[in-house]
Amino acid sequence: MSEAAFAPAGNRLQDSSGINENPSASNTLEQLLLREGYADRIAAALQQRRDSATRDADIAETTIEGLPTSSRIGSDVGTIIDLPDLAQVPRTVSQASFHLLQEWEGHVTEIGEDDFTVRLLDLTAGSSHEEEEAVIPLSEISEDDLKRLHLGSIFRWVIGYERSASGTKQRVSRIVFRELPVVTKQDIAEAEERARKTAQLWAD
Amino acid sequence: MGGLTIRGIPPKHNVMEVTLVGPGYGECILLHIGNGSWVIVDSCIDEDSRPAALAYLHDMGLDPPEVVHLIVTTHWHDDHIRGMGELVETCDDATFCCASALRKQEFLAMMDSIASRPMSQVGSGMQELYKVRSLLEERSAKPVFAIANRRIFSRDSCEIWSLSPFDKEVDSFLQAIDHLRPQERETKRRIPTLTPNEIAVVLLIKVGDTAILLGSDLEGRGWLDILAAHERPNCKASVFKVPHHGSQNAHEDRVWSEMLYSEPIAALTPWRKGGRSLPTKSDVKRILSFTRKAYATAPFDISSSKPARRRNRTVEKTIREASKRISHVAPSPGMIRLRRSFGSQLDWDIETFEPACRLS
Repeated sequence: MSEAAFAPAGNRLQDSSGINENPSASNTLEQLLLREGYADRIAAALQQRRDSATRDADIAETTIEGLPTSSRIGSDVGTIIDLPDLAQVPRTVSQASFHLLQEWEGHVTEIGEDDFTVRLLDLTAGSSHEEEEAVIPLSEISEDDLKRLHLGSIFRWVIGYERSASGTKQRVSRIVFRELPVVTKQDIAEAEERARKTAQLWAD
Repeated sequence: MGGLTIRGIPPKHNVMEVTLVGPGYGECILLHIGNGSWVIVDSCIDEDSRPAALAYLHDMGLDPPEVVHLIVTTHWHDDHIRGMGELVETCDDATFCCASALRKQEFLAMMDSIASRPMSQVGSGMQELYKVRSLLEERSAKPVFAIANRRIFSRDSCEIWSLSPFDKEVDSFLQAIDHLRPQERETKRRIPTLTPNEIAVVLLIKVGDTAILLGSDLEGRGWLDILAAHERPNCKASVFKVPHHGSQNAHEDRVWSEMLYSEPIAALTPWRKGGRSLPTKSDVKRILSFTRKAYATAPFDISSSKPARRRNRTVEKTIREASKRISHVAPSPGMIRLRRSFGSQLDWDIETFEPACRLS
């Protein structure tokens, strides 16, 4: 399967995060999981990675010579400093990437002492209903996700190859529970109002 | 349902039919009540994600909106309601019937909180019900609500009675769902199944002197309440859709002795979740002690340890490492079809379509 397999399949929900607008940039595991409710969970990790990349880029700026530059006035010292125009600087920092092999959406149907049972919808195959059931050890999920493990919780399970910025390739299986939007006071009020109307309509 | 292609001959107008389909993604029952009129009880989908009932009627050259007059959802569990929205959408003249609990404001509010915005690509019973509700509201149509001992439908010589749920079970259900309802600042999730299921709608279908008892998934004290009720029609059934996949907690000896003729035809769909499957061997033994004419729409170990499809070797290796077990849980549905002419003294004509089988 090629990297292009990251493009959302037809039966998937639209990305509502707004972060993944450029399909060509959807090539890390984090960005794959950014779709839908995974955004908050991944955002922190992604920011960490961005900070790290920015630090690398800063270092690159100081070491590149003879490149097109733009000028600006250092407001604090009142001197003119030449800086490289970063838009024209070829990226020298390798990016981490993720080669997706398999992706499911699942929901939890049972929780045992050391494992949990799930029903799986095969997103890679474009299935429209759950065809598989798996029993997964609790050790497969992070401590953070253990708090999100409830009957009915929804998660994403991806399997693929992750290549780090340094070029190291490793096979990964990651289960990430969705942080669905919380119910707000307004949601409850709207639901109750609509229920009241329906109940009235359906009254004897 | 590729193995069911020989089914394509509709019953004659004077022939009653009871067809049980499952368990691909649930179960569903079709009833021909005479003169080309059909009733559908619950819904499941086939491998092509079509409601199995629509596929069945289409295969016989029938037009569902023309022939379906009543659709009943006995409860909102995933395995009884897949495709119900599409079914109601297609059969737009059919009366829709559901348990009276579903009209309660508490339940409707929970449905709104959970299903008004899709949160998952996997469908859920609540989403199907929400779709049905929206369709009915658009049509300004009101469901018929099933409660104990109510005649919910009548046409020609056919009467359909709901024998459950009883008010006290509805009250308990509403209390139970109150705890499941998402509260402020809680994240949304699917609503887990409530057990025991005491609000499922049990149906008694009478056509002339023939009666059919459809047990849905009713468990626990629900059956004792039905047996104690004096208001229910006084007749015995010759066909029994065994409740809750034949489980012990849905069994009452007195149902067999007081509500069924001896040696009735018993039909069920198998079920599996986690490490549990129904019916168990002891369930089968028990059912066979009441009748030898017992059938299942599939062999009772319905899951397969083979994966749903072949995958890349790396993926298969990773699955093995990351999970204790993965199994294919949605085999092709089988079908049990019973037909008998009205007024005939002959026994039912029984057909099984693979993988349906006789219990032994």
